[in-house]
Amino acid sequence: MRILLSIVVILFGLFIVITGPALAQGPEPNYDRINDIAENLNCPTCTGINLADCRTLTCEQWRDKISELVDEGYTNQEVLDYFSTQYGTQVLQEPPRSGFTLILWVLPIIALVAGGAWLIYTMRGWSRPEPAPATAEPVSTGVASSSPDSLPADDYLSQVEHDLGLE
Amino acid sequence: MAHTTISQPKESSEKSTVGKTIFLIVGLVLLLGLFAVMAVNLQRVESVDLQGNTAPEFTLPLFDQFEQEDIALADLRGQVVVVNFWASWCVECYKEAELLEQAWQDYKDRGVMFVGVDHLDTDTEGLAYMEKYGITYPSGPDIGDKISQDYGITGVPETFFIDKGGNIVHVQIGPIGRAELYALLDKMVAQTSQES
Repeated sequence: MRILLSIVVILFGLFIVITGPALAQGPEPNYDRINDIAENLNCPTCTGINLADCRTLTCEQWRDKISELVDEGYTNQEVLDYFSTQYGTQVLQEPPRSGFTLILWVLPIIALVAGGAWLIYTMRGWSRPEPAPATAEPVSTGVASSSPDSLPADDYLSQVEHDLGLE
Repeated sequence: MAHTTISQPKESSEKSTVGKTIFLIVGLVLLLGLFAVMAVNLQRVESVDLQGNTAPEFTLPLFDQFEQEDIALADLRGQVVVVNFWASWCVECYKEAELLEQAWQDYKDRGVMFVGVDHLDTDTEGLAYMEKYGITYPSGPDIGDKISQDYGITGVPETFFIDKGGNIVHVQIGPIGRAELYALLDKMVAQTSQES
């Protein structure tokens, strides 16, 4: 019985020694989520690189900070808000859609719509036939016209109508 | 018999005028927007341009280890102020960190105040840096990067030397050497003594 008890104690001790460090490390960070958030932030010390792709010391520290905030229960948006408050809106990949930076969102849309409208307007002009001075179908009045723009045949036709007693 | 000449429809030419007016207005709006963006960019200052000008006012929240909650430049009027922008990830900052602390110890009783502005850094790393280099002068994080932008810093380290009248007399880009730092401080303290 004593031997059995000793074995149990030794096994328990071994279990603690083996699993202790792993348990002390806590749960594995959610790297996918950290990268999702980091993709929406700029590297503060480089140009045109997002935080997820950057390997500088600063970005490494910032990703650790994201991990820390995620562990504290922050949502993705709350993490982004924290970074923009702490370091300014220029760290966000997408500038905020409010205040002055709204111009950066609105201007390209206006330019696109205006450009599209201009293109359509111009192309419609190309497809439209050349406007020619059109004349209406001759209207018979039954009376010989003496107007200068009358056709020469009109006088003859009037004479025939007169001779036939049609007038 | 008569035939009638049909004139061009008036409606069509009116439509064309309205179209042109709309394009003109849209064009003007786009131009104004671009001018606004350019104006904001032009307003951005470069740190070296501030030399000889009044230092922009700021209030810096201090790290928890300091008794004071924050420090305002306006409250330091009448003293020589050395504002150092640094970051824990900045290798060049390491070179001057201990020197700045030493200078603070040497000049703090001679009317010189040192202020450390931690630029784009995490608090954890910033505090570790301060502990490593034994920084004891008031330092804190630049919340929203506002002070850095107002001073137009181009990177870290950058150090601004402000006289007792609140004017920037020297802007140091990159780490400063001991001889230059002490010469500058001696000169500014002497000016302070003469004026007071």
